[in-house]
Amino acid sequence: MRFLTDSILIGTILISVFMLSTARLGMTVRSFALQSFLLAFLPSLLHEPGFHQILILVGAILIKSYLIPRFLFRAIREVSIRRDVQPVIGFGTSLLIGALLVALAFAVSANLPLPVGVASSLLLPASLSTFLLGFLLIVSRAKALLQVVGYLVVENGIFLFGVSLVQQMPLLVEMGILLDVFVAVFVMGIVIFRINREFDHMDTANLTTLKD
Amino acid sequence: MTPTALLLAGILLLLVGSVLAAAAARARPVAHALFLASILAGLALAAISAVRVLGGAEPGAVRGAWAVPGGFFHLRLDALGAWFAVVVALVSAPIAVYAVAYFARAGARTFGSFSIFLASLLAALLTLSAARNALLFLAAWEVVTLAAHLLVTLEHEKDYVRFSGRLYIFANHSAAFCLIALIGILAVGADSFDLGEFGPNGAPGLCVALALVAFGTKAGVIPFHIWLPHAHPAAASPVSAMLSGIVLKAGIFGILRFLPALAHGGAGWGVLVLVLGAVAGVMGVLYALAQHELKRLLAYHSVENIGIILLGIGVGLMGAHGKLPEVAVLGFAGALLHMLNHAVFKSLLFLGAGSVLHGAGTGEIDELGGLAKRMPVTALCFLVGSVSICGLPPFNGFVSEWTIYRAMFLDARGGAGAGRLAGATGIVSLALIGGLAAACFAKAFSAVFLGEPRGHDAPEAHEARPSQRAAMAFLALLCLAVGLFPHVVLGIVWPAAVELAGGVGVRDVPAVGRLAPSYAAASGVGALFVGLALVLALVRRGLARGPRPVATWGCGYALPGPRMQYTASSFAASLLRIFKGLVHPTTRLRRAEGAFPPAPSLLTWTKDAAEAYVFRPAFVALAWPGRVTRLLHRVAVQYQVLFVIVALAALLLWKVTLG
Amino acid sequence: MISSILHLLLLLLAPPLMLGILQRTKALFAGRRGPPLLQVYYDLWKLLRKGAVYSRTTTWVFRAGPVVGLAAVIVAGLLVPIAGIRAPMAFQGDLILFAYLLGLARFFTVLAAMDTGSSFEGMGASREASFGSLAEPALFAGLLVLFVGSGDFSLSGILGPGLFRLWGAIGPALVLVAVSFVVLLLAENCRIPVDDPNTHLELTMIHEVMVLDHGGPDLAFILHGASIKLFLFASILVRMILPTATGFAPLEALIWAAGMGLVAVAVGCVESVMARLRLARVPTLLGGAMVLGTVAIAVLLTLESAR
Repeated sequence: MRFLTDSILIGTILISVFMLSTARLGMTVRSFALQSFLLAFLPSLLHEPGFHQILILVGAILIKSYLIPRFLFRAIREVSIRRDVQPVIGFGTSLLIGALLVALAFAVSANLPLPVGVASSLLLPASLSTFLLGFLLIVSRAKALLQVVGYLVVENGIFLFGVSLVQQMPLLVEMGILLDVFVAVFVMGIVIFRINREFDHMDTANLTTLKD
Repeated sequence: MTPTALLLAGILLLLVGSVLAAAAARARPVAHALFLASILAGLALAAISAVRVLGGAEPGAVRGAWAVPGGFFHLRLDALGAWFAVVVALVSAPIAVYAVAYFARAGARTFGSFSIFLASLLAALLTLSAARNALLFLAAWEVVTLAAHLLVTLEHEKDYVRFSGRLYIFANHSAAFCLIALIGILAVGADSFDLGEFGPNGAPGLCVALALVAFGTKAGVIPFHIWLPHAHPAAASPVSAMLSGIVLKAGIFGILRFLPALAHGGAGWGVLVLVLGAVAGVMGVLYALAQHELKRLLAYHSVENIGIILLGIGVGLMGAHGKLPEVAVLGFAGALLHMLNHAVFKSLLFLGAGSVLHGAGTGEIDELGGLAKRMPVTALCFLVGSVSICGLPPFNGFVSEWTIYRAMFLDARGGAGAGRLAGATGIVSLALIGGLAAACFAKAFSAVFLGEPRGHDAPEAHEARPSQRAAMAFLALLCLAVGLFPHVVLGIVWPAAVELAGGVGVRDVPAVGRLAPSYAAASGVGALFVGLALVLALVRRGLARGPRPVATWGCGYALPGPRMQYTASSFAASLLRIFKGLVHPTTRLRRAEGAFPPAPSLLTWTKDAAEAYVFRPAFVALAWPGRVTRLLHRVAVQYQVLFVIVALAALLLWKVTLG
Repeated sequence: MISSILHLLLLLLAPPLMLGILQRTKALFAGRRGPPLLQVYYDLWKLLRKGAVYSRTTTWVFRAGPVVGLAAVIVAGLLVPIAGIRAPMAFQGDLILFAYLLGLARFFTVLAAMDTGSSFEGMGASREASFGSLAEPALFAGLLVLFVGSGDFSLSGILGPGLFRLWGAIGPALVLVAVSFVVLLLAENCRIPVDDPNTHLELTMIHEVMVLDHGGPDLAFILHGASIKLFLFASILVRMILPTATGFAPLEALIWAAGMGLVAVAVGCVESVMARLRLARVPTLLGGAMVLGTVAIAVLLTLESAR
């Protein structure tokens, strides 16, 4: 059980790192779906499987690894862009920064007091790394769609953080976050379509030239 | 005669002989013979005394009154100093031999000055190794700086040489201020100018910062290295070899000498040194990759290797802090070994570069090529130096890097908290440094010595003179000897490393016997490799049936020319593209366009970030107040005197009011 | 003594078989019958009997390249345990020597390629030197994890019977190291997705283009050296994935041999189903291996402090 948990956590980190290194939009979305799928099982693994856990499991899989990716894929099809050719920060450099951030996350969580009864010592560093790598993804990519994915990865990090901190994660909080994210994705999706329709591309750098 | 007295005799012999040689400079053979005899004999005496100390002999002391307040002429050759003296003696001797032939064509004046300057440099370095009084240390330190400056500007007719010499002396004198301040603070704390009395005091952070600037500048630690890539190419090749091989090590020696007084500056000191070393190593080798001039490339490799030495010192300090005696001693031993090894292979490489410069007429790597056919001995020696500097077995560079790796591996396992992470960082960076250095020397060696000549002069290149070849061969053999007998060398360096570790409070140091078996085994592997390679070469020879000479296969292209070869710049381009976040090569491309196109050209060069973004702006900013004060010079003399009187009065008033 | 002789024989004779299995796998994927399993031996024998052709541009460095390369790889092979049985030469710190001996082989191969003065070979040499220097940190990060976990400083000690218990203690970190070693195995041995040994265009090759001008016995040395290198990396990897500790040597050897065969087949599958990466993306792959190593170190330290 312990090994399974640890593997899921490390897999989460690695998937985030992988997202930093790939240029293909489709691959990034798929990676996010996989990451969310893996994470969905964590509550059931860590705590006594009950109604709440099952609900989170089903809900998370349904929303984060099916609905949102589907929506994002539609967006990719609509704007017919497959790759982020010119990222703000290059793939090699963002990988390097990513490695430093992961090291930082581990170093920081080694000095944080852990709540009693945390199942795995990797939970906290994994959540921090995912959180930070999500932000790095937002910062380093030029395409709006990838920034949406970055936002979602950050949410996964928060989810992990919640799992690691709270024995019985309040369902309401998690649902609230999910809803938040869903709305955010929705809004950003609309924005993407708008940008695309008006300017024939979805590079956010050009948003700064908009005035009034 | 005690070893210290013997050392002093050697120093005197050096000085007297070289002055006589300079006086007889017009009678060339006599001058050369006098110079060589005195330098070699003086260095031999120094080496004998140092080896006796390392072998366990009582060093003895030489004391004498000195007319400097607080100063006392006190020499005592301890194990650390003895190791430094060994490095100086072993490497300077072949350089001196090489230099005689190098300056054979130069005028009598040049040779005379060289003789005196080199002897003063060596005398000062040897004095430094044994000085026990801080003011004596400081005096010797300054003589080193001055003598090195004079040696760099030996060919002062050239503008660039004068510029480099000025840069060198500015940098090192500014650093000397820090050294004076450091000695002042420590002397007040200890109430003595005796180096042995210096100990931790109230301002550890300040002391560490001062020491890093003072010694780091001399050693060429990033970001205080900016004088280095200018001074090395500007100087004559034997002088570059001295600078890189020995004078830089004086900075490292200074850090080690003051270590007992600094090491108590908190746990972060070791981590700081280690991180500095990692940064210097990686940046040094990346800058080296971007260079187009052979001696400049070698100069940046000095920055890299000083970084490796710092890695050793840093991990040694961490071991001392974490109560891991083995880590501490191994770290220090690795640093000391690398001090020797870098001195040997870097001076070898600089002498090789000198032969190339002399024989082919240029140091621009992209204009050279194919020199291995014209200069076989130089090529072989340069290859040995290249393999050694990359840390590849079975040569000496591997021995020291191996020792430092071992210290870092052990620290990563047994250290505490941040120390473990720092150890791991050190390992990963040293691995990266090793890989990049191999790429860089593959580039340098192959572009200069292999393939076909690219420029106009390279085909007429001529080999170095016999005595120069002998000097290079001696250094090359030294590389191989240290690489094949690491257990012997470890035994020699061990007392110095133990002394250093003891100075920073490490007790229960393991005996050298505990580590010797693995070093002997590594030596066995090296010997096995050499033997196997020879056997395979013989087998290969037996198999070859009439090798047929043809043209290189051009993949179907019928008219290959030497200008189509892969150049050094293109070789390094792929790596530089990967690391473009850290070094930014600037490219200027002129295409052939239009009906009557100008000659197309491609220029690339790389700015040194520390020089371009830190020191240049800083000096430009400093020039402003300078310009303001210069206005004062224009006023009449009376006013100038008035300023002096006012300043004096103000100072007196200050003194009086404050008591 | 007997085990040392067996080790040496296995080291010298077995590696070409791995290449044979690999090629057979690729052939099966492509719907061909493929060459016999022993084809590489026939190739080596044929090459050894051939005469040599040297370019007028070359010097002795060109001739030294294959010799030094083969000697270094063989000596490195004497440090690597086979099937978890102690290697003929095992001592404290030999894992660093192992990495540097491979570096020595690479250095001389690159020099030999540059000695021909051909721009194609220069291209290959440049790539080899670049990617090789990026692979080094990943290798050392992996070795560090193994060392810290096992507490032993020699390859024989690390990959010995104690490895089984290590999986229970720091399994997640070992998974990461194993994955990064897979990447290294493919990269260091010039396999897809880093390099394509069978491409027909010199411009896109790395290793093959470096040895374009070598022929006859020299090429045989290079081919044999390359097969031994693959054998060594595979041997380490197999030991990491199948860390059996039955204490019964023949059974251990059998498991190891099966693992080696599996690695050969797996590499063949990877080569058949994947395309070669664009050269500009290879550093990202190697950087990824480096990140894996870094994360492995971080995970290891966290797991250790939690214990």
